[in-house]
Amino acid sequence: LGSPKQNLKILLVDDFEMVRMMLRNTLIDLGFSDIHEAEDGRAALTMIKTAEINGTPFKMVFCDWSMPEMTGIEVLEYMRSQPKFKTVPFVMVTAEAEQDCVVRAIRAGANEYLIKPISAESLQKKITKILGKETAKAA
Amino acid sequence: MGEKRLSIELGERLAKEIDCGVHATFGNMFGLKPSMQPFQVQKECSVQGDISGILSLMQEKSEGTFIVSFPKETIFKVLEKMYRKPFSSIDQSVKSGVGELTNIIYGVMKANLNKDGFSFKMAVPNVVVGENHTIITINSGSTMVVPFTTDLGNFSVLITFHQIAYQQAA
Repeated sequence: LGSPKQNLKILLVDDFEMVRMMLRNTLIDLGFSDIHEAEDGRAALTMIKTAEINGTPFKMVFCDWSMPEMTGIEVLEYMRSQPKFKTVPFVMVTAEAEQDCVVRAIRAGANEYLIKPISAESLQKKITKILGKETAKAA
Repeated sequence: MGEKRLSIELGERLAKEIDCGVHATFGNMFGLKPSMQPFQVQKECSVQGDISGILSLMQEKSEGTFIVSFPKETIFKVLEKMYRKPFSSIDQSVKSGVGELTNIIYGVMKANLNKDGFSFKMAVPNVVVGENHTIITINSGSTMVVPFTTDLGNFSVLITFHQIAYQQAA
């Protein structure tokens, strides 16, 4: 059995490899190890559904907003429409800092909103906040 | 939010927002502190680099081009910090990295300007590759060139606004 961090299965979704790499490196530095990647929204949903069927669901999703094939907001809306994925913590990651984008993502069901360029500190804060809420819910 | 603004001069204010975007991006992502050098406003948009990210600047009554241009030696060293492996050629990772860096720097600059009444739109970057290539924009006005130095090498950010006769259509 690993630590809670090692057991937290995380999906990183971004069409830019550099951003996935940055998130992965930072999460590894923070102690997470079960990290998976998808290049676009459609591939992400396939991975999310497959993991659920296999009994090893994702416990947290970091997803870019602007992507080809399927945007982050479309991934989020689909997940929130499905009982199985309704409560999976979802962090929208985007270069869009405008207030109306933040509001739209939160209304669609995002737990947190992370604005690029991401720092290790901001990423850690968001994860701590989400995990704190999840622990409180479970208690 | 301040009053609605339709255009911005190529000058100190814009250079400050570019500097802000570059600092946030390179600081947060790579732990670098780029140093902005004195900017120049030139009559022609002409940049020389090995790889450049380019996107369209669009807002009410002004259109332009935003370019971030790197010598290959600089971008290789910058991306090595992220990928934790050396680069020796401009591969897909480098192209993708320059596109996303351009996008993120522009995102920070856009957010700051839009808080102040501007309305710059989202834009998708393109990447141009070619050793010591030159980019020339058509129908452009003057171009502001903002050079940066870092411990890992130099690069430049350029902005040009196109000369469009909006007043005739009003």
